Amino acid sequence: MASLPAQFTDHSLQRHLQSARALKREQSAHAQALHSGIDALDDCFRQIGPGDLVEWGIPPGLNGRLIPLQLLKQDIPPSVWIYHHHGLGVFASSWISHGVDLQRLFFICSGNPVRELRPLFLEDTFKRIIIDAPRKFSSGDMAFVSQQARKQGQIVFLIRHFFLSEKRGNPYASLRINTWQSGQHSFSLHTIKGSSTGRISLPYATVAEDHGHYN
Amino acid sequence: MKTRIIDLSDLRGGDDFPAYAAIFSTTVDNPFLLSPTAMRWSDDITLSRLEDCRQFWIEQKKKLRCKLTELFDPLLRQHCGDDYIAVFATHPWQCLLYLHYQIRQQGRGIYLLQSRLDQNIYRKLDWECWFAAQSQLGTHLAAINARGFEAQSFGALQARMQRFIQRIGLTNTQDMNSADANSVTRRFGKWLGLIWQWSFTGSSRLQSFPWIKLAPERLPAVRRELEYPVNQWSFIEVLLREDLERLCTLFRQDDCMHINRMLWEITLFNDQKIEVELSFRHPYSLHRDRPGFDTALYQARYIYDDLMRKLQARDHDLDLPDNMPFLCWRIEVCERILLAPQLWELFANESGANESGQVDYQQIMNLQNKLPIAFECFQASASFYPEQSFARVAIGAAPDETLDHYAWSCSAMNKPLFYFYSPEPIEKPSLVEKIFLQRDSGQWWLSASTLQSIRDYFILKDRDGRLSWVFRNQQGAWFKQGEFY
Repeated sequence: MASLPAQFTDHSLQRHLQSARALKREQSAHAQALHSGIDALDDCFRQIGPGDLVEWGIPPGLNGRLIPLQLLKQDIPPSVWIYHHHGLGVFASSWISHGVDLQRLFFICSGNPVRELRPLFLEDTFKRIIIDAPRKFSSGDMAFVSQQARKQGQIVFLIRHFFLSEKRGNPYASLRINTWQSGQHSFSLHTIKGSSTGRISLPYATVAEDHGHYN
Repeated sequence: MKTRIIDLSDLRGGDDFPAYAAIFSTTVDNPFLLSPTAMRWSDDITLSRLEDCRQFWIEQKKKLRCKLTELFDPLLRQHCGDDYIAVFATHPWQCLLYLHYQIRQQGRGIYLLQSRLDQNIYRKLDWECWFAAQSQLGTHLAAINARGFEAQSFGALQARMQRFIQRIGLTNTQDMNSADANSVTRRFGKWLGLIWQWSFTGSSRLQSFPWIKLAPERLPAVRRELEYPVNQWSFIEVLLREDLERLCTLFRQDDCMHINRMLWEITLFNDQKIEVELSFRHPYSLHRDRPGFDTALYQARYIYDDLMRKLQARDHDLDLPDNMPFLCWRIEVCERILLAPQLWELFANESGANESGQVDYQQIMNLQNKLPIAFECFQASASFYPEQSFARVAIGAAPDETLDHYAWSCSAMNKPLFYFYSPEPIEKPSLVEKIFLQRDSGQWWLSASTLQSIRDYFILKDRDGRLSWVFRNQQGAWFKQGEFY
């Protein structure tokens, strides 16, 4: 049976830990790091703070990126969106129409971000880093990125181009969530790992302007 | 009611960027302060050709959102002291003539000859000033052996012209404004005719003005002879850092001084010499990057990796080490610029203020210098055509305040976040759901057929529920323009 080293059996340490947790709760009550203005979405991200990595499962064609976008609308610190979609570029007007401040959100194209953009992760210039469907991203890269995020108080979104499942976990991610547009009138969010798991639905109109009907 | 302030010292139009500058200072330490093309007119006067770096200064002005005088004044103060006089104009002779007047008037600071106030004063300069400014000109014309110039006869013609002016009672140059250069040439010789032409020309062409270009300054360089061949980056990095430190000591450690490009000349193990360039997207301050020189070393690393890849591909059939060793190298600063102090101080006190909402553009530019890929920044443009509804801009570019960004981008609300640079032809969709978005008639006046520019945009949902942004042209062909990622 494993035994605890003597210094960790001290009850005062436990008290310190409890008070630290209480302090964290108090802090998060004051200011939520990620804020969208959509109550149900904000509830999902209440526990996310600087140093956390959020893994998103968003297959292409399902318009799911509009959900992480909601968290980049309101008074964001300088942020960078690292994308790599073959032959595709940023359609900036669409981002602006969704209320994203492009004076604060920068883009960079890289399929292998940790290897190609290493200095970006070594500095705290960007407080939000979105890694969108990288071509290469090993578990070593994941460990490096999450370690740097903790060190520099950054929030990292890692967007996968497939749905995440409970079968394969990710110890580095504080929150794992799948998002997609379900039908014409709503978006679905399925939290796989986080403070509360389960599925919620957001009306389309809370995320974007309704665009009409299919024929 | 809105009031409009007319600034008499401001330029008249947006295109009136001066082509030349004449700077009077007893302490000019760098004649290449404003441009790499300069001329030493006299001990105290330097001429600069701004035309050669016009775009650079326009960009700096835009970045600082200031007037030309506000851009140049701190830089000139820094290098020429407080008592400098600088005149900016279209032709070097106009700069010199007005500078002569301002020296006589004990003026100080910057004068833009294209501004309303200075233009009015210039037009009414007296003859004494006009002739006095020519004393140094004779020396230069003699120095370059100007064709048809002879100092004695030039003096005689000047005296004749002065007598003529006295006789008919002209008080200033404006009184003779109806005279063209040809009539002055006929009466008083070629050179006085040319001076008359230079004085009132609207063109920046030299028109036989004796421009004697100052030899470009020699920029610092360091050389490293390796005791043994080196091919591992970890060793090269250490040695390069030492060399950059040496280079830094050779370079004047002035915050105005920034580097654009460095040349790295490498001698390989097979005695082949290769020249590669370390270029920086944003002007780089070497001494501010001390002691690590991270930015320069990152750029050197990208170059090293690229070079090794190319050499390996070239020499794959030869019996050579995987990484070709280096025997020696030389690093030289090949392009540097002087930035106005406001530019390097602009965001200095905002470092670390990210969480408080400030965007530290300087920090982002410094980071970009370390990356092999550039950041992409965008702004909305006033256009209904999807591809023209935004523009890529430089980091920190001032937004167009007059444009209602949100209103213009509203039409993009139902469009995807990413689009194809060139639309992909697709088959005519069948049995799928689609939503009609809009009909755009592009710039029909630019195409031969009006109908070709009409596009009907749709959101298309395929059998798997995947959404894409497509359009149909008037010939019935379908194209995919974007994906709803």
